[in-house]
Amino acid sequence: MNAPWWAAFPPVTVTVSCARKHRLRWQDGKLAALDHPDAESELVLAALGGEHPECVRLLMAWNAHSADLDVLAFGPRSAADTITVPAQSPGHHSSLMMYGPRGVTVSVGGFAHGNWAHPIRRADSARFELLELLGLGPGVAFRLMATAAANATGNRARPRLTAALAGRLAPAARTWLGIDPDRVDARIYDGDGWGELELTGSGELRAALPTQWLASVWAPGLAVIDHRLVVGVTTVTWPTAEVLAVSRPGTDPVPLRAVCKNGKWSRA
Amino acid sequence: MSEQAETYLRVIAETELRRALAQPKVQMRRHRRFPSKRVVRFVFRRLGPVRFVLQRLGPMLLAGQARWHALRRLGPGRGRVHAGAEDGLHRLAVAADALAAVDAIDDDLAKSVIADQAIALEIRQRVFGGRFHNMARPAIAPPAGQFLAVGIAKRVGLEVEGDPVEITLLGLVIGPDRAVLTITARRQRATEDDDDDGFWFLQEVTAVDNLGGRYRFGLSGGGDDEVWTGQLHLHPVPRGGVRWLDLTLGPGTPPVRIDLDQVTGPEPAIEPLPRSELAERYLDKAAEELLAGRQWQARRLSGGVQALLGAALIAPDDQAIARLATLARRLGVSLPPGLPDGPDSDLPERWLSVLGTTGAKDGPTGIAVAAAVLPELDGTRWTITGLRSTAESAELQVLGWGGDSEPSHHRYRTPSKFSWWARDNTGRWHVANMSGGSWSGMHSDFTLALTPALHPAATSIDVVLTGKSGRVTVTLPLDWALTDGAQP
Repeated sequence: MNAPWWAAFPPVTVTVSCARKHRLRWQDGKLAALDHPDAESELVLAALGGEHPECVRLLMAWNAHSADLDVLAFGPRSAADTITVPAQSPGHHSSLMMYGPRGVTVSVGGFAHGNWAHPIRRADSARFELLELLGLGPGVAFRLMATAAANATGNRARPRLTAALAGRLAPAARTWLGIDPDRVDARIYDGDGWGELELTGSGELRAALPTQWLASVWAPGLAVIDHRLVVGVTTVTWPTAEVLAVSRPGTDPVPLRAVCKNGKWSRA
Repeated sequence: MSEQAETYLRVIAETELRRALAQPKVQMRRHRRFPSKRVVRFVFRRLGPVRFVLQRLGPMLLAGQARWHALRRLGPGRGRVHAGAEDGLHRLAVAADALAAVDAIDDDLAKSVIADQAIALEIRQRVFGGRFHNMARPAIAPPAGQFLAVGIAKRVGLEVEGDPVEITLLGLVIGPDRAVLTITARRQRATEDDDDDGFWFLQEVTAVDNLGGRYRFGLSGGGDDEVWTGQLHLHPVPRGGVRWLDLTLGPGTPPVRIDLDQVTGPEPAIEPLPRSELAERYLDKAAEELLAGRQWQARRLSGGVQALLGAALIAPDDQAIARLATLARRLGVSLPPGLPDGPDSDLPERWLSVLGTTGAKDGPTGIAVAAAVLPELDGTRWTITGLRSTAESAELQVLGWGGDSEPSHHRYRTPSKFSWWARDNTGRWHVANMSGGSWSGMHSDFTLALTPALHPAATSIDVVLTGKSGRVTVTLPLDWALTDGAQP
């Protein structure tokens, strides 16, 4: 498991409306604004209160949320789990309206004035920013979740990471073993090695996996390959990856070669 | 705060989200342009008497709407209703509330987990949007300043559009940010006239004070065509130095004087409570719901008890669980699902008292001059303004400030953070539960229904409010001002 957490992700480019249609590109764990050659300086200027071109604003948001575990609460749980972040049109009937852009008062529920207008709190604004990033598409969303999981440290992150692991391992366990996802008990593995997997006599899967599993295995879509649960990534030479996979709980993982075709991993 | 409890709650959120993802999306419709102010005013005037009911049913209607859309997607005649993401959100809210109630997690974390879950569901179109904008807001403290509660218990008769109307003034509360007169009104209708204004004539009430100040009134509350229970809100709030108010309820009626001078309320007693008993007190609240005949609410609470068990905050053989099981057996109701059964246990005196007097119909009929300002408890300030008693039951009018929890409790049908009991001086205990009211970010105003009826010989009543940090007891003398046999 020597590969960096981002190794199994191919680069991805999204288009955003900046001054014109501009490109944001994620590669090797970093997001860059391709049409802003001096983005670093623009970031500094923006931080000092200068103008915020959309690309730079999104870069700032990315940096601000690169260790924000809220992304694991909101982000998609699978490729089929599509999320829709409503557009901020006046009068749009959505709670998300309250998260409107950076410290302004917006209308909620179609009422433009009176008691229905709520000032935006900083925390709400941060949430909206996060949803905006997720709204850039699944390519960005899964990479942001991986980034947050890889960067999260400390005991305060532990409950969120445990829940994120449980929420993502449970459907993978269903695909892997055909068991009820509610019968999966997951915890964070702190020891050396890949973790532990045990199927109890009552049919409950007890799993302990490191948080790295979320970033390097689950997020790039490697969780289950060829009816085996992938527990780590050894090397990646895109589009091929050497992984460690477990065929049954209680057995040791064995090396497996996987290949990515049309965004889906399978055994090579 | 417990890491285990937070983990437990967040894992529940993941489980509920996974279940919600197995449900069909709700149909999101764009709302048409909202009607003009004039139309809104007209509709609300027409719907005035049932607005109160709509406010109470709102969350249920919205949940039902989600189910209806889910059902429609299945096509006619299929007869299947999905439990829906809404129910999952409520289950999560009950669990979060329980963990916060026992201090296993803090209130802000509980609110944040619920709010995040609601947003996660909304962006997946599993719940309707637009209803969660207040969920993660921080608690609002009651305003600093003086609170005054004045018992009135006066009745005024007048005529409105040919109908005799009887208005009972229960009490007046003046806080730093609002002044509220609690009232009931009864209108005898000679004819069914769809064009009359119901009780909105009460907005025409006026008042003057000893300093020459003039006041207008806004009406809130609810009822039907014939009876209205609610509040008249004074504008502006009477300032310091006002010694009396003369209230004119209708043209040609003599003013009713409300003395604000030398008002001396009863002195409440405060008793700090150990936090180590929070889990037991939470379980006892489930028992109170059973005692009050609200089994449906006890079933919801069982989700909270399961959360306490799941997060290892109580043991299955806890004495409080045994008490709850014993009470359920005594009442002949099934134990809320998922709760461990237990051996018979001794029940507290107050429960035994209620069990022994349930169904009593010997209560005095009247309205008492009852008013009290309670000290701040757990970030909330409560006042009592009026007590009405009938043969079958009694009611207290309560106005509150602060404590963001009450509106969200209302929204999610989770239990209140507070427990209300009363004990009259004959020793008869009464379990109290909210039976309608209105909740906003700052204010919680409601009627507390006392079960069973007051003892006919009672001359005073202790109102006991229990929160997380302590218990407040205030003794209200039962000075029956209106006992003329008329309905209170």
